[in-house]
Parts: sequence; structure tokens; C-alpha cells
Amino acid sequence: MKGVIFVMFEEFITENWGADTYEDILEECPHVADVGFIGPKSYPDQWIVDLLTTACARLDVAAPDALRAFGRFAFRGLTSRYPMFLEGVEHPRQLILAVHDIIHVEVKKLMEGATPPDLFYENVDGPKDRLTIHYESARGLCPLMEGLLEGAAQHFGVPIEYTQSACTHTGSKRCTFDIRFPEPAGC
Amino acid sequence: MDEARWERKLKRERARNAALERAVEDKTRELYLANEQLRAQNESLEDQVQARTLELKQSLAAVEAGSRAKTQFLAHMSHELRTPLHGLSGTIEALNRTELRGEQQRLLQLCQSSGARLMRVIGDVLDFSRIESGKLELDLQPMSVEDVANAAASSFAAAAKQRGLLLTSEVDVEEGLLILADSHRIAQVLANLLSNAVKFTERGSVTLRASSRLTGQRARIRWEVEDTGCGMEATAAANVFDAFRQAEPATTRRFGGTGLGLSIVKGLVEAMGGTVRVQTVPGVGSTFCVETEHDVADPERPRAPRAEVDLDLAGKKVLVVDDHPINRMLCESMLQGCGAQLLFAVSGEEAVAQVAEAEPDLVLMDCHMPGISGIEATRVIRGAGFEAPILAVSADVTTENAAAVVAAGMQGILGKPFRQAELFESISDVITAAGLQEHAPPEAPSPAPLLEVEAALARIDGDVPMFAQLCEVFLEELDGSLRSLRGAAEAGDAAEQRLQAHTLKSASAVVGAERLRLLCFDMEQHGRAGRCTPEALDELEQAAQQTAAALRAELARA
Repeated sequence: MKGVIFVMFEEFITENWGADTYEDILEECPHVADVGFIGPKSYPDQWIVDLLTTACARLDVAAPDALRAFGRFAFRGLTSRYPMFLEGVEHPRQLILAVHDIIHVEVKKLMEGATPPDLFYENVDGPKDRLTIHYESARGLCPLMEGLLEGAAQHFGVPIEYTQSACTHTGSKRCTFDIRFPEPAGC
Repeated sequence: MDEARWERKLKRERARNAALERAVEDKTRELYLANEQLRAQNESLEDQVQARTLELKQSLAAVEAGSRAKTQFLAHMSHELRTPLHGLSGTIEALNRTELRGEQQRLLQLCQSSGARLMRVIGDVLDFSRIESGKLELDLQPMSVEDVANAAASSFAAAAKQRGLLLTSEVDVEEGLLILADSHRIAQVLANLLSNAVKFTERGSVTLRASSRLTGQRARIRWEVEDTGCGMEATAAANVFDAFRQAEPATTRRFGGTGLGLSIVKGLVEAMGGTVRVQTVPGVGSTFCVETEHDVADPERPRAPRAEVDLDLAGKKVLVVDDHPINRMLCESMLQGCGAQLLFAVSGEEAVAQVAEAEPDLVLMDCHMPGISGIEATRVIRGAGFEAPILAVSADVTTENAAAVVAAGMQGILGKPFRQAELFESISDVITAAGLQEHAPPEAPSPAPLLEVEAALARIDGDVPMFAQLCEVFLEELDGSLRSLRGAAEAGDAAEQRLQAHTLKSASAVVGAERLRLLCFDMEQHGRAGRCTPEALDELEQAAQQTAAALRAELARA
């Protein structure tokens, strides 16, 4: 996992629950307590899981809810760090379609060793108010994906409705999101 | 936050800073290495581009050198072939002026016709090379489609008749149409096509057609040569315009020829911006169709053939410069009746000395000589202030040499081999241009020569017996033609008179009756305008009688 996620996690906790809460979480994860995370560097995936699990227990929040909230926060963090990926993009559907073939390709170039999830799309050329995404990642962070979708909706100021029709946590090979855009592009 | 936590946070921030520094250093090193790699690749690319540019320059230089060598070879070939041929034909001409027995005369005619044929082959090869190298230059002058077509047909009349073929010419063009074209090259195209048609037709006919279509100031001319000959299979017809190809290999053995004729036709026609194609049916015949487009020329009379030049060089000093004794001898023989004092030089060096010493009124300068060339010698002579005309005499008549000759300060170039008339004409041209001739040219143009036997003979490959036959036929028909002409004139039938004049004009051209041909031409033209005077008819009849007498004398002599 790239350091930028750890950095944003620290910001997420500190902004919402204060610096002491973050220190509390770190005290419970002594193996990362002294690590100064930096964006471009890669860290073990397990570390973010440890930090998230500890945070959820400490704040008494369900893990999926925490990930969704972190996803919404991370969307803002990512767009402020990498505004070039939003140039010329006017609708979340457009952004989502660019993620796999453009944004992740560029991320891999910019950050050595980055392993972003694989996204596959359905209904790309179909009605503009619908899109199906298949999400495949060894990390199994599909709630984070939900949070990112919600963050995108918030950023562009248009509503997004989605249902998750398949999930790796319930035995599927991949997670599938059927998305509806009540206000498609051009409306 | 308590102290311990602050300290841990500080420690973390330091670690973060240290990690960032390392990351920046790593990235800087990475960028440096990538830059180095790019620079090396750039240098290697530049080296490759330089090497490739050098290679291309060398290839280009080699190709240019090859092209120059080819042009030079062509010039030398032309020189090497034409010089001995010049010697041969000049010697034959000189020999022809001596007393000869009948058998000797016949053998000499044979030499002459073989020489003429060889000249044509060399001409073909040179034309082919010029076309190949894109150096063909067209001399655009006003020309009459009708005259060129009729002249072409006339020159093959004898050959066709000899083979028992009916040769007809059908001209359907606007009255008095003149186009801006290279009449020599068009005549060459027609001669090639007609020669093939006559050669490959065993029985039946050969027809030359010329027609025109005017669009504003442009005229589209369609020339057709149709024969009832052996025709060609489609596969042979497809290749018939390729160089060195004849319809089938056996053709070369049976009919001879270089196989360049139709390729030259195609090259010439394409150089004129036209097209040529063939329609052929084996056993039925072939039709070659040439289409060309030209500007329409102003309706003035096309230039009549030049009357023979009578060269008067009395009291003038003429320096003949040539390294070859036979060429000096020929010039001496050709110029002996002109009254000039002849001087000779055998090299460029000697020419320079002779000019300084004798101050001649005219120099005939060979171009290719051992030591300093004629061109070099001319530069030296002109540099010394010599102003009299210098005429280049060279077998190398390529455009490059002609340009070099003029650049060196000569007034013109005469190609070897030349005939006496051509020598006189060239000399006359350069001295007229230089204002050397003291006598003003006569006010009225001298009448055209009565007979041009040599030209007529040349058109039938010097075949004297054939010429005799043609003359006999002409004489048999002449009285009838004249009667028809007078009958039409007296009946006031202008169309018939024009037709009769046209027919007699073609027949006159065949036997070389030049004066009669021109008078017929005039009558035909004036008849068109409805201005045909009785005096003109009298003059024509008188010329016809003189022609008949002269031809009878020729026949008796032969």
C-alpha cells in the first residue's frame, strides 16, 4: 500500500478525532508507531489493516462504515494532491471510466511498486445513466470503493445510487457495483 | 498531548523527513541516470543520422557521377560514331562529283543509302537516350497539320507502291489550321508508324489520318496509322511500346530493326504531353492512334523550306581547324567553289597561332581535338580580342556541348556529318549574323530549286531504280493532271482546282519537284480563299514543263 493512504489516514483520524486519538491508535500498533509515512513509498498492506482495525475498535465503529467514511475523505485528499486527473472531467461516470485505463496507469508510472486494484466496466457504451464496475483487489477493501464513489458524487455535486450485487466477502470472485446516475452527463 | 507523545511525534516527523530526503535523493539519482541514458541515446541517434546522411550523400554523388558519365559517354559515342560516318558520307559526296561509270554510280548509291540507314540507327539510339534521360527538347514552331501529314504520306508512297500497297492520307482539319508544335518530331513519329505499317503489311492498304478538334486556342490532334497487315496478339501488343521489343523475336530476324522505333514514338508523344495506343487484330491489321494537344498558332504561312544557299566567300580567309585530315579535306572540297582563301590548323594550339597571324574572316572549329579543345582554343582566341565569327563543327551535338560552344564565344554549331548545303547554310547564318557578307541579300526570294533529287532519294533510302520508276509514273500522269487543273480553272470550279492542285502537290513531293510542289501549295491555299489567278496557273504549268524536262534529263543520266 502506498504511503499516501497512510498519510491520509493520519489526516482523517486527526481531523475528525484529534491528534491524541491517532497517538492512541499508534500505541496499540507499536510496529508502526515510529514510522514516518511518506506518500511515494510502499508499506505492507497489513499495516493499514492493523491501523484501521485498531481505529474501529477504539472508536467503536464497524469496519465497513469506517472504510466508507475514509473513502469519502480520501477522495478529497487525492484530488487535492493530484488535480491533473480531474482536468476536463465533468461527471463522475467519466471519472470512473478513466480510473482503470488512465489514472491507474499513470499512478503506476509515478509510484514505483504501486498495485492499484483492477477495475472492469460493463455498459460502457450503453445508457449514460448506468454503469457496472467489477472491482478486483487482494486487499478486499470494497467499502473503501463505496466511499470513493460517494466522494466523487460529492465533488461533482451530482447524486449517485449504487448497489453491490456481488462481493468477495460473500464468496464471489470479485465485487460488483451497479451504479445509477440519476443526472447523467449532458442533463 | 503529553511530552512522551510529542517526542514520539517529533521522532516520526524526523523519520518522515529523512525518508523524504532519501526519496528525493533516489529520485534525483534516477533522473540523472535517465538523463545520461537519454543523452547517450541522443548522441547515438545523431551519429546514426550523420552516418546515414553521409551514406545518402555518397549514393547521390555516385548516382550523379553515373548520370554524368552516361551523358559524357553519349557525347563521346555520338562523336566517335558520327566522325567516321561524316568522313564516309563526305567522301561519298566528293566521289559522286567525279566522273563515274554506271556500276560505280550504283555501288556509290548503295554506300550512300547504307550510310543513311546507319545514321538513322545512330539517331534512334541518341533519341532513345535523350528521351530516357529526359533531355529531349522540343522546338515549337507554327506548323500545318495537313502539310506534315501529306509530307509523311508522300515520303512512304514509293515504298508502299513497291510493295503493292495502297497508301492514302485522309486529312480532316480546320481550314488553314496552324498549330504550335515540333514538326520534325511529329514527322518522326508518323515516319516510324508509317514505316512499320508498310514493313508489316503484305497486301492491302496503309492509311494515315489526321483530324483536329478545336477548343478555344487549343487544338487536339488525332493521328492514326491504320494497316491491313499481320496484326498482333494481345500479349505482344501489350509490350509493343517497350524498348528493344518487337512483336515477336522472329520479327527482328525477318524484318530487322533495333526495336526502338515504337519506344521512341511513345517517348516523343509523351514528351509532347500526348498519348499513343494500338488496336490490333491478328491477321486483320493494326491501328496506331496518337493524340496530342497544342496551342493554335497565328494564321501566317508556315515557313517554306529554305532555298539552297549560294555561298560567296570571295576574298575571305577561312580557317579550318580539325585534327583529322579527312575532315579538313572534306571542308576544302566543299568550299573550293566559294572563292575563299582556305587556311588549315590541325590542333587548338595551331588554331590560336594561325588566328593571331592570319586574322581570318571565319573559323570552322572542331570541338574535340587532342591537346587544347576547340572550345578552349576559342576562349583563348576571344580573349585575345578576335571578333570574326567562329562556327563549331562537331559530332557532339548534345545540348551540353551546344551550350559550351556558345559560352566559349562561338556563333553556332554544325553537326557532323554534314552535307555541303548544310555547311553553306550554317556559314551563311553566322556570317549574316556577324554582318560579314558584303552583298545585301536579293530583294525578292530566289525561287525554290526545281528539283531536290537528293532529298527525294533519301526518303526512299537512296533506291535509284525505284526513283526512276516513280519519275516515270509522275511524267505519265503529269499531262493529265495539268489538263484537269486547267479544265477546272476554266470551268470556274474552285473546289476541283484545289483538289487537283493538292493531288499534284503530293506527287511532286514524291519526286522532289520542289518548285512545282510549292506552286501547287500556293494554288491550293489561294483556291481556298477564292483568289486563284490565271497567271498563277501559267506559272505552275511552266514550272511543270521545266520539271518534266529536268526529270527526263535525270532519268537519262541514271
